[in-house]
Amino acid sequence: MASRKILLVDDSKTALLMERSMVERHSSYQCVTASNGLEAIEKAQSECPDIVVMDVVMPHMNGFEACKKMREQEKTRAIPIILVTTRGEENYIEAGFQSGCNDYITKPINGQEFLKLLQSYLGE
Amino acid sequence: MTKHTPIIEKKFRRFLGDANEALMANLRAGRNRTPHLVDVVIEAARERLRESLDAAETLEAIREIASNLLGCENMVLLCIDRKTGAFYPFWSFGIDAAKRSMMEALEEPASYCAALGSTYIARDLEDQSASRQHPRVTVFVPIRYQGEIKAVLALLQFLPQKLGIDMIDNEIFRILSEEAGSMLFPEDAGAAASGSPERQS
Repeated sequence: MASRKILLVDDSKTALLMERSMVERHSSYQCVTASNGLEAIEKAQSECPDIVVMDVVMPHMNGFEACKKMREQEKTRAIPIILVTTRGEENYIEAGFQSGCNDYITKPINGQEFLKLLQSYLGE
Repeated sequence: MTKHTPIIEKKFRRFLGDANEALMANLRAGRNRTPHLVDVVIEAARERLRESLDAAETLEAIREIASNLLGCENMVLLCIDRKTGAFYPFWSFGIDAAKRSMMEALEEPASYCAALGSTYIARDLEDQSASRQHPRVTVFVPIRYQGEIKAVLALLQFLPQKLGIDMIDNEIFRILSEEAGSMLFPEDAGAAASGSPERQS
């Protein structure tokens, strides 16, 4: 079976460094990255990832908007999207699910839970 | 381990008491993070700091590390004036460090942190209602350059979902303490490189 591909989206280099290391060292999944919502939409179209893990607060286009756009487009409509953010308030979580995300987790990420969540979507 | 004098200890005893209580409560609360992923988090922090080429990038790296790895979006970097020994706000994020009341609240525990020479965790002074199990804390991290403490990073008002300070956090505090200073104090680097014993202020 071909390696599963994850699109990691965050404007923080630190978050991308950590998420990428977690995924690549502790799973067989492959990573591609983007640093804002617009780039995420482009990469989702061109790379056809198996899942998108996306920050919410980003320049150019935030995670909510990018999530909505991906849901509108035929090619990216069915890709599972996990939003990852520091904002844990109820109204943010609600906005996340309204934008079409499948899951919503808060920073700082618990590595074990993060990998388990990815496995639940992608398999071992 | 403690380097402070008895006079300093007496002056800051009330802070030390709070720190111990808060630290123990938070260590208990923070044990749920995953030991085998510790290295990944710590290396991300170290790599991010080491790839920063100047003070502006280092400050951005500190902000990112605090926000993404520690769960804190409010911080102040208090530098120590070389002539007077007083603290002044060098940079802040999320809060107004220029407010007199803010500096007054931070100065004493920051002084204690600098005297102690290690990370110091204090219960938030305004936190009267928080539970004993998850008290809100402010963390003070000494920022060193060439072994000397040049500044103290105060991390305030951690995110609500951040329930405790754990061993990973302590490692990140250590990395910030040891590695953030090298690009923040370029005039010191210049003085050190030229072999001058008198550094510019």
